[in-house]
Amino acid sequence: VSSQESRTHITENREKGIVVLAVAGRLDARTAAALEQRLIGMIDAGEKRFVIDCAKLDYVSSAGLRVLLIAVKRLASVSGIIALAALQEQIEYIIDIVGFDTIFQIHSTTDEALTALAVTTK
Amino acid sequence: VREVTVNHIDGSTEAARFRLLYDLGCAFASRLQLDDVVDVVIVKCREVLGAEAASILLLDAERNELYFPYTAEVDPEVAARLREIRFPADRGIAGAVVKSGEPVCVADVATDTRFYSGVDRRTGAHTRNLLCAPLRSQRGTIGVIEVMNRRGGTFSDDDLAFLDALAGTIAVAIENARMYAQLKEQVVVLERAVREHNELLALRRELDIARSIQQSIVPRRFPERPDVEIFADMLPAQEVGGDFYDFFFIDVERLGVVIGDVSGKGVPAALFMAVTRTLLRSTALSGASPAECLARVNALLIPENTEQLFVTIFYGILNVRTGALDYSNGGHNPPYLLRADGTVEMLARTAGTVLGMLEDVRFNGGTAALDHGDGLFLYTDGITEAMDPAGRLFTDSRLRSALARTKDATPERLIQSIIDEVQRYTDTAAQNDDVTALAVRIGTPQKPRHSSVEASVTITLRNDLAELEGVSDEVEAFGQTHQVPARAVFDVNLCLDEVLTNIISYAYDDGAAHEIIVRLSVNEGSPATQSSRELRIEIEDDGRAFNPLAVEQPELSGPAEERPIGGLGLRLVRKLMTGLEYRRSDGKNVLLMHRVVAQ
Repeated sequence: VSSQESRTHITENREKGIVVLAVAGRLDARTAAALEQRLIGMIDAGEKRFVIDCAKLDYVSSAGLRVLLIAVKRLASVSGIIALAALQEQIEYIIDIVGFDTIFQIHSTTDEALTALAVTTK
Repeated sequence: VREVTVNHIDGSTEAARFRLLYDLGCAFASRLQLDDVVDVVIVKCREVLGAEAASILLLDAERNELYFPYTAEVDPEVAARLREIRFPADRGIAGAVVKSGEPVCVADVATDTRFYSGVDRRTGAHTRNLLCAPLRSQRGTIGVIEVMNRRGGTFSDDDLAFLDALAGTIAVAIENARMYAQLKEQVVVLERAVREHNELLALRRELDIARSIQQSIVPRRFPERPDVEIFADMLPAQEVGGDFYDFFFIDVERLGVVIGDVSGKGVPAALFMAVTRTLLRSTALSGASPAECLARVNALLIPENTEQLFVTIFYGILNVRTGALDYSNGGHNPPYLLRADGTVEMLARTAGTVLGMLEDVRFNGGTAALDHGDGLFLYTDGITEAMDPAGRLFTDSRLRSALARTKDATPERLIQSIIDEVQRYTDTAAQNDDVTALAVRIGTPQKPRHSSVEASVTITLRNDLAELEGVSDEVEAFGQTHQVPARAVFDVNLCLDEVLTNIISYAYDDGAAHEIIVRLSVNEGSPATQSSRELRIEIEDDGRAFNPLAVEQPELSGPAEERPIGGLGLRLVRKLMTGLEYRRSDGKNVLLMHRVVAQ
């Protein structure tokens, strides 16, 4: 368990009603569950707008992508939205390969994502 | 006046008056010019009413003034002066009628305090009595019609009723004409806007396409090796030209470097460049000499060349161990040899010309010898023909002296400083051609990386996700030892993660410990077999039979709600690896993944 936590670190912030989750480290089969619980828990609690700050996310495997997809599906049914921000080059490449660039808003910085989400909906 | 049918009015009879009203309606309904009809109508109106003059005054709402666009004055001088006159819209009897919207009959203007004598003063006319009726439209009163000085008497109430009826028809006609003109103007503006918008979109799309073709062609990742440094850059012009560069390792020690320039611009040039680059690369990787390559590419390009384009190409093969350079030049600017001591030499010209136009062109080869620390600088004429705001060229000699000043610079610094200098020179002038350059420098001598052609490592792990970290570390170390580019190491690690996670999670039903074996090897490739440097990753497990290649590919377009949650891992593996093979033997699954790493 300790190894798991040292590999991924999730920080939560809230700005103008938007939840910003900064995910650092690796998002793979062993660490994805932590993000899934956190994210799905918040969606079930009524949160609708999320920005995932990926600036310190070094690695993501399909297990991590799966969590993002589950979240976006849940949010779609409640007109919520989730944006990915500050993707590292190799992660952005992976996102493109699986076609997620067409279902997620992708922004180069968290600030940009916040601005975009702030104007989308209330 | 074309065919105005309001001209057979003869007197002041009731019949004539009705006739005028009727003809007026017909005239306005026809497609005659409004001005022509109104001019005739007021003349007839003056005659029918036995008056000396008749005018239409329109309200200029913006300036709140009345003016005389139409007048039926007998005296042409008075008529001309009237057309110049504007007066405040609240003055005079006309002003009062505009305000009240009611027609008036004034028997003696001298006794009417509303009368404004300014018009008479300016025209020299003398108004005794008048009729004035408002021109009422849906948007309010737009002006008045005035008839002055009944010959031999004053106007009657019947005269006023007639004028009022006439005014109604004229007002509608004027208002319609105005709205029509406005509409026409709006349509023209709108049409122009739509046309300009479409043209702009088409142009921008074309530019974007050409640029993305060009950008996707040139390699942006440069190998990090101690024995040779490579760097290149390209600044595309607004309208993309046809520049490109390329480099690739033919084998462990022979580096191919290419620079080219396609004639023409835009999408056709970009496509021709893409074809050229692909043909050259595939010919080059077969190990042919530069001269042979250019001859073959030339022959292959000619049938493809429907647009009558051509391309200049320099192709060199540099042996980074011995420093021997073989090259051939198809009409391109000769590159410079940069000696470690700062000397700049132009590579000798060789026979050959542009590719894609003429069959049976002879290409000769040239050779040069580089020492450690020596470099090569390849460029396109976007540099030497860059213009300053006064239209003067950058020139070869300026480039040469700039190169001489960059002694000891790494290829990256060298290219940056040359491009900076070109940009400083161009200053505010537009960059009208692509600016492209590639530099290579031979590093310190090195022992051959591995005596054997193939190096490998075997990693054994238990079916536990916690083991994956160790695998990833081993792959990193292997990549370091064998100078595998970081991207390839990342990709291999991700794919191994996907495959191993699958095996550990789904291959076993017995809850027992199992061994999974990963064999990782690098094959240096060889020109003889036309193979490139590649990584081979073999994964063997004794779990239940499972062929990942038989799994259907998930749907990856469409809305999120329709995307399947599973199957993403295999999708990544398929995309990131160059090739996949699966076999089931001895009760084991064996998956072989390839990943080409040579640039």
